[in-house]
Amino acid sequence: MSTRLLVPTGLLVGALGVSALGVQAVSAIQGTDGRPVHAEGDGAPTWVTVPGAGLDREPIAPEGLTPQGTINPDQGEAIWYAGSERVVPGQVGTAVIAAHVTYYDEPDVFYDLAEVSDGEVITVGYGHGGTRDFVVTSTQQVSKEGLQRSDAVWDDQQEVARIALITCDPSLGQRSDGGQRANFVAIAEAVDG
Amino acid sequence: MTSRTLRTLAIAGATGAAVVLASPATAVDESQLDGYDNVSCDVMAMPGTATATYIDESVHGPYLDGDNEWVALTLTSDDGAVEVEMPEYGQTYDSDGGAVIREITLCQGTAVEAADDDAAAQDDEDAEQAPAEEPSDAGAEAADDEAAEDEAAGPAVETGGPVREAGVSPLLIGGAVLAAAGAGAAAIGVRRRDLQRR
Repeated sequence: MSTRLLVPTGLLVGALGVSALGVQAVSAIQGTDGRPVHAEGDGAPTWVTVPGAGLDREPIAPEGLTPQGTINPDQGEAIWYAGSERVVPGQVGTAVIAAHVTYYDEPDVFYDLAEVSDGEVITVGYGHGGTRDFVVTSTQQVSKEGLQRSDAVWDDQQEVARIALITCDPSLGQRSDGGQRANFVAIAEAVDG
Repeated sequence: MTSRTLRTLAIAGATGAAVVLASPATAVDESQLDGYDNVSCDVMAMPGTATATYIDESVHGPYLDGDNEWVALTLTSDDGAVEVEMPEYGQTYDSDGGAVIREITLCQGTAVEAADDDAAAQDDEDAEQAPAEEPSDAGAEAADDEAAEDEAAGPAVETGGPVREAGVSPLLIGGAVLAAAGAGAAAIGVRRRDLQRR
């Protein structure tokens, strides 16, 4: 092999090696066993771990809209939203997981969700014992109105399994009746789609 | 013949929010319900801080009677009311100026069959215009609606939780009771002393 070809060949082989290492790392992060994910039965999500928010195997359950047409979990509960064509966490599409930040002025399940940062790994566990990992790709504070029009949360993307962790954000203050003006959203995506 | 019933669907919240039935005159514009039969309206209190409401088939659909369809939606806030004709599932409707919605009124009805009109419409080259559609929407408003439909939209997420109301402290109540009891006892003592002196 001539010296002229040695350098590009070496670069190519090196790039392939880096890619292989990346795949290995991704596989380690995913932690998925390929078992199916469903809304009900063994394939249904049962818990979520969000290290940055101090949550370890926090139980989650499906819930739809309130009669008022809002997502409003019970005190001390985290839910995944079963409505508006949102998917089950782990399925391709966008799933919504929500919980209160406070309840009667006391910290609730997502009290520390705003501590989550990009790159953090969030794990969803299922009834059959399998797990699925998601990497946080963005976090943002958004007004209530802005959240309702957020493409990251409500669009119909079919490319990746995405979860949107949502709670309220007190940093924009409160309305006259004590309700908060903003939400906090953390978007996380499964690396393998 | 148009009939109207008001049914309260309010859910008793932790705050015990009172349900206020909207006045039919202010909640629904009669003229917008022309062309529909068996019209009835559901009024629902909104105890939270939502400034928009999401119409969801799984939530609202069960309240439809028979072949009825939703014909009007009214969002009532402290700043006024927003009326929407023919609300659709999967759409989010905002209050006026982002005001907190106090209650929503959903009206349903059955489109009146107009056989004569349909027959005439078949002979009319203008029949391309759907006769059952709302006839008087302004073009600009329709364009806005179409633009809104293009946007991804979802329900409000109310995860702030209720705020503990600043009630009267039990300590304060106890203190008041003790003070009143002490004052009463002192008054009785003074009265008895006066009687004894006489």
